[in-house]
Amino acid sequence: MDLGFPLGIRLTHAFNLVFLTLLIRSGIEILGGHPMLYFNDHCRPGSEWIRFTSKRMFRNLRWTAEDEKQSYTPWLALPGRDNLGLGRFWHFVAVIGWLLTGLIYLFVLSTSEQWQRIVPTSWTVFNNAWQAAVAYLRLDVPLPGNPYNGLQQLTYFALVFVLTPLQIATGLAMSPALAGRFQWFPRLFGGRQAARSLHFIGLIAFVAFTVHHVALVIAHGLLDGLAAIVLGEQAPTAAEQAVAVAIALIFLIALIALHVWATRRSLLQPRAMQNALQRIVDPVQALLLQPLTSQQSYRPEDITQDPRPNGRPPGNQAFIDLVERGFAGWKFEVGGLVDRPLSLSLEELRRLQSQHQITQHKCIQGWSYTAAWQGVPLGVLLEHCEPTRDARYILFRTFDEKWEEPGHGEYYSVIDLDLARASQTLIAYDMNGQPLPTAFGAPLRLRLENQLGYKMVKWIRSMELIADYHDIGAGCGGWRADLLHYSRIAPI
Amino acid sequence: MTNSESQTKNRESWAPPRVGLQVERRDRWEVVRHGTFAGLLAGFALGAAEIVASTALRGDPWLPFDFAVAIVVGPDALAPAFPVAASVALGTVIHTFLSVLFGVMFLSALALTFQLSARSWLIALYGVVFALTVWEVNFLAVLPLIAPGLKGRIDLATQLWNGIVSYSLVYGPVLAAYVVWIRPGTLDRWWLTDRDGVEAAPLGRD
Repeated sequence: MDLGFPLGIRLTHAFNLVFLTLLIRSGIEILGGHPMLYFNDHCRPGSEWIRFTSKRMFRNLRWTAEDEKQSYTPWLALPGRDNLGLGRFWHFVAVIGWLLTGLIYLFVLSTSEQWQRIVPTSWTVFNNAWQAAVAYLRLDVPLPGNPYNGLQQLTYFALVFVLTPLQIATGLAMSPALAGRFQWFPRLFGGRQAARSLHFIGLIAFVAFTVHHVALVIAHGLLDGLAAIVLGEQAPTAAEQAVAVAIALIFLIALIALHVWATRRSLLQPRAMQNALQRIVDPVQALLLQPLTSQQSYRPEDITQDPRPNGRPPGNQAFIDLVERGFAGWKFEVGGLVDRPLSLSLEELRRLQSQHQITQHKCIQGWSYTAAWQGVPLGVLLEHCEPTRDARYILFRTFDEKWEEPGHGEYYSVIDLDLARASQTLIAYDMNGQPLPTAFGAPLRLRLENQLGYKMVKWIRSMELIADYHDIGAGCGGWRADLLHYSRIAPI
Repeated sequence: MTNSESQTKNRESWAPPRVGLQVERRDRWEVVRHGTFAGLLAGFALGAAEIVASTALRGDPWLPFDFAVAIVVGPDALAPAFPVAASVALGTVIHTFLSVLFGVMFLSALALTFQLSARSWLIALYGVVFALTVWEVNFLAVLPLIAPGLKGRIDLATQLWNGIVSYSLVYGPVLAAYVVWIRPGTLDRWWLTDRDGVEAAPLGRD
């Protein structure tokens, strides 16, 4: 059967290469955020099955998970040099493009006879695949099938209908919003970290497929193969082969130029790139994932012993004095656009309505742990302070002067008012039945269980209801969004 | 005061940001040197395995040499008239050159991805996967390009034993065994944990 390669198939093949290469390089950047992979959700050091870092951590000096990051070269990662925020933006933009390309491909496949290329319709495909494998082993090219031989058909079918959905599903399983709403979902893969590992193995499978695919295209005849996928010519003339080679080379040069441009612009003008990519990514994640509310309920036996802390505790003398006094005399201030400003001691906060929850903490770097949290639902605090109609966001200020990164101001974060009213959004004062340890955010920390960890501000000093956040800090909605080019919202 | 609270008191107790103890170093000369050794060792083992397999299957110990030579001179090297001495000499040179090249490539790939200090079973897996990739790329992609006349010239048993089995069970594992044994570029063993009585974890919280 002569199905040929219609324009839709040829274009989606080209765009697939563009988006896959962006996905792979940005995925490597994301991996550098926590260059270890696990099959357990506790992520205890030493329990990783593979790691991509040149270092291990000190025994005689204190460190946090941020210190475990590994900077990758821009030759490999997009953009490289420890740019997790922009790496994630690139990854999600590429995901959107890749999924659209895939949908168009499936549309072309299903509305024409093209589906016969990759969907086996007879059990003879296995015998045919064996015959093809034997031919390849003999350094020969098997006879064409219908039009693919059995081995090609099974491989492409597995790629499109098994590996690709698995990659999408394991990627989604790492979304705190989706996993928080549907706790069973990451368990389908053995947990969040198993999903992360499978996502990585899937990436390797795509790379392996690409190497295999290119090798066999060469084995079948590179010039004919290029003419078929570039021009749609099944029996090309020498001139058509030359044109196909020229177009393929131009395409490859353009692809390399795109990667060079994306890498350089991300490294040299990160804010401009953050703003540009954010305009594409944020509306999509705000529409699809941000509204999902967490309904997590882990068992006490799921709690992680001795989890990783992240971020160095504040080092300013005022905070140290408060720690030494057990925060006696300190008051948590609630102000801004409210009718009733509040000033509450820890004891007064503890007397308000409290909520207990066992949830999984999911760091943007990739690691996770499970802990029990107790605190005041943020919705309850909002009822007490009565926000005005102009209030749209909540600004959390902290004791954290970020002494390890001086010159960038105190740590702060802004969240949407809607998110504050979610059922598992807490101002937590206890962790695992004990007052919040300093390393984990004493005196108070935020729990936003459908968000990544960096939105759950630690060492909270005050909260302020505001109408706009663009005049705070660099105007991106948080210290990490300002400095590290993270997104203001983090449901994935 | 808890231990974690005492962390705030002394900034000097913190490691510099983003710094850890190096468990691997990247030294180009070291990678090239050990890649050469690993490649020569694995190449020798592969050559020996192929000669044994070829002798057992076809009674022809020189066939692997002929195929190596065919990369350069084409299918004429497979003709009975082609001198054995020339085949052995040139075949050895080509095989040695490719062994060194692929050995350096293997070590470079491990160093680039920080896998020189990886667990032993992972390095063994890398060895096998790398060997099969070398076989596939060489025999399915490169050979048809440079010597198209060789297509379909090998029977299945020979290709199976001289190709897949020799590469995956001899060449790859020997490459990996060299790395596991020598551990080039490896400065420390990261995977030791409490269970081994060496490493307390997580650090910074004791």
